Amino acid sequence: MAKTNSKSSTSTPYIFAAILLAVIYIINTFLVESIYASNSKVSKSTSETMSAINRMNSELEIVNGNVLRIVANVGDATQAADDATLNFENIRDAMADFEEIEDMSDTAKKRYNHAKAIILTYNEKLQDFRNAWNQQGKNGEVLGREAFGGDMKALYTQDIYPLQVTASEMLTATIDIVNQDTGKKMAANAKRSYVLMTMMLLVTILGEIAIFFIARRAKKAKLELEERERNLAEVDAKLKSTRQKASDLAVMNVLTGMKNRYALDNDVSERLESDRFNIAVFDMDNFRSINDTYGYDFGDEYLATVAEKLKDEFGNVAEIYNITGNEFCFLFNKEISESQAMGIVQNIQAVMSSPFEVLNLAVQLPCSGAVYHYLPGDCLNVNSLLVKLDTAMRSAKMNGGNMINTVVNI
Amino acid sequence: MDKSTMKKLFRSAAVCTLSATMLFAGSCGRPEQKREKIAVITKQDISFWADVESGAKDAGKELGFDIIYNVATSDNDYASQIEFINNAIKDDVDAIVIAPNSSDTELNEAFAKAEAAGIKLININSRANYDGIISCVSSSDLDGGSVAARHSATSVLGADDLRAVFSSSAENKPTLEAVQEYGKGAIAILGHTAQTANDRIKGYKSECIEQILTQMAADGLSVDNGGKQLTEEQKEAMFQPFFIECNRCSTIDASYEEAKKILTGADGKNIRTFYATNTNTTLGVCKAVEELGLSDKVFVVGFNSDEQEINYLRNRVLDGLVVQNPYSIGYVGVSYAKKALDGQRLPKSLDTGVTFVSSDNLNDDYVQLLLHPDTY
Repeated sequence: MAKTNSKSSTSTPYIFAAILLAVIYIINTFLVESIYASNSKVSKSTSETMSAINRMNSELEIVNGNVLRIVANVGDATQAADDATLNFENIRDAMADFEEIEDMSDTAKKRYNHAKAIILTYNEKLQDFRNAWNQQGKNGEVLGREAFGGDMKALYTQDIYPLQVTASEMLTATIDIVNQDTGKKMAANAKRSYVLMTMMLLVTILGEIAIFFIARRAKKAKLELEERERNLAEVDAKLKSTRQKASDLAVMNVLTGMKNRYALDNDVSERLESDRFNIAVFDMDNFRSINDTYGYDFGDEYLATVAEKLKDEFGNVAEIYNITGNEFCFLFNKEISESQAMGIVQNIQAVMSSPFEVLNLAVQLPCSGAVYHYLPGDCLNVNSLLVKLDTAMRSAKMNGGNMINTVVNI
Repeated sequence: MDKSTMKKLFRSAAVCTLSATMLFAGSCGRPEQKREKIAVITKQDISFWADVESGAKDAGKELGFDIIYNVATSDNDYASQIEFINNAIKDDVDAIVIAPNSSDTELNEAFAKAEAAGIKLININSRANYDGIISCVSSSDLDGGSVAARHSATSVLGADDLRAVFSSSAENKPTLEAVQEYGKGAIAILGHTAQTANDRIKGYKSECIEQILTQMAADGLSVDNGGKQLTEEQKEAMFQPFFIECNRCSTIDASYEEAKKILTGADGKNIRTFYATNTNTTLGVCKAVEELGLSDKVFVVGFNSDEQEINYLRNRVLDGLVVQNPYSIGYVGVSYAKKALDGQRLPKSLDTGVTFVSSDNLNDDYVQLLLHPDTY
């Protein structure tokens, strides 16, 4: 459970980083879209404006050409006047298109309105001219040029030409203003684009920095977690060791390093009902004289030396227990037969009774023992087993010691 | 995070931010352009020139120029205009758009200095006698006079009147007395003091004479000249009795006095049309006609579109106005100055035209545009 939690807490920064990247991507996509939309709008508006105004200008030039044809008496004047009427219709259409365009500056509108008023007046003048041209004479004939006294110069120079030139000037001025406005819009758009691109860059940079910090934090958290796990493992190992030690101390004699009485209990209890085995106990005769003579420390050292020797000599044929002060119990391995056990106990007695050098002093004590060829079900528990062995060993000591008794089953 | 890592991190962040800022600043910043200056100098402080100023300033605003506007005290005050030109040279203007108060050479020295300083010269309203003038944006004064005559319907006499006028003299030539007696009265002309008045009067008289001749031809009357066509000089001499030319005036008061003198004097008997050639003379004539209670009798035609003139028009004291296009003159004048600075070729002159305004067309869109260009 703890491991799952730790995994989850480690992956949280990465999830957050992924979300942050997605947010950056969305923001940048939005900004790019905004730049594109703005550019498209300006481009469309410019295209429509210039298209409308150029149509007006070109149609006006055609009208001017037709008027000149009439005044100069070149070609069919009636046809030229009809053409001019159609051209003005086209100009009106272009004006309608122009007026529908949004975002036109006030300056452009003002200049366009001037141009429009002049163009419409120009149209009215031409309509008046057309009507006068089509007047009928006394005999019902179309007066045409005669309606103007045969000389149209004054009409052209005084009524029409000034309108032509001022209309052209105002229309050209409108084109210039629209061009300037377009330039300003493009510049403003470019500025906006740069601002948005800078924002994109900043968002990306900030995102990168944030991700960098997140990654560092994640790495740090991971290291801290590993450190914690390591510490926990160490604590766990120490705990296990302590437990082992405590456990060992419970079943071990501290002085001799041999298993104790409780260990014997653990090892043998299960076998009492079902196994047959050989077991023996040995005890130094009159060990108390050593303590009395040389002190307890010496006695302890002596026991430790004897125990070490016994482990060396018999550790491979029996499990050796130091069940009380100087009493050792030998639980022979399964493969050791009764006769072999009898031989080994002789050797044990010989070893234990041999002299030992302790703290530069040679010390030798006899020992007594008891051996028991145990049969399944002989004893109910280890305690009764040891009672049997101790009774047999005490009997040997009572009989002068330095001998081995065999526990006899009754 | 140790100190050196923090330093590296902040250095990286600073570099990124600086790059972004430089990108932004580099793209947005533009070298500041010095704005060009155009001096606009006009004739006198009346509404006509206020409209010219308005057009010039609109053009300056739209085309990106600073306009330095100056106006002389009267239409013959060239001394002030010389000072304005010299100031414009000192101000390092790029072009001068001027309505010269002299059609002769009084301004030429100042023009020469300006031209030597690389300043482009554009005339508006009238042309100075100086070769360095690149272009002149104006209304044709001859045509202005002609338009005034074409619309002065009462100038045209019927066949009987004309026959009486011509037959009353032994030499079959009209006299002032005959015109006053049989021709419904003469046409009084009050010109202002500037050169433009000459052409306006000339155009007016010429068109009046042509209309009379056309009418005579239509009625089967002819002028005896030994079977030859009349020259312009002969026409003018023959029809001179139809016109009474007053002394030239520059102010409203002087015009009023002069008009009153004519209308009440012996020569002014039966005056049927009064033609004035600029704002001040028109206002002076109107004041006199109104004061003498001759509004119904005298057909008054004037020039320009001062608010007082419009009021006289509404009150029927004034019957018609020849309105120029001062806003367009100012606007196109500055626009031409820009084109000259851009190296474009310009026509020697541009006629912005005139419009005859009467109570019939006073509310037409185009007329309103001419009268109130700022509010249109």
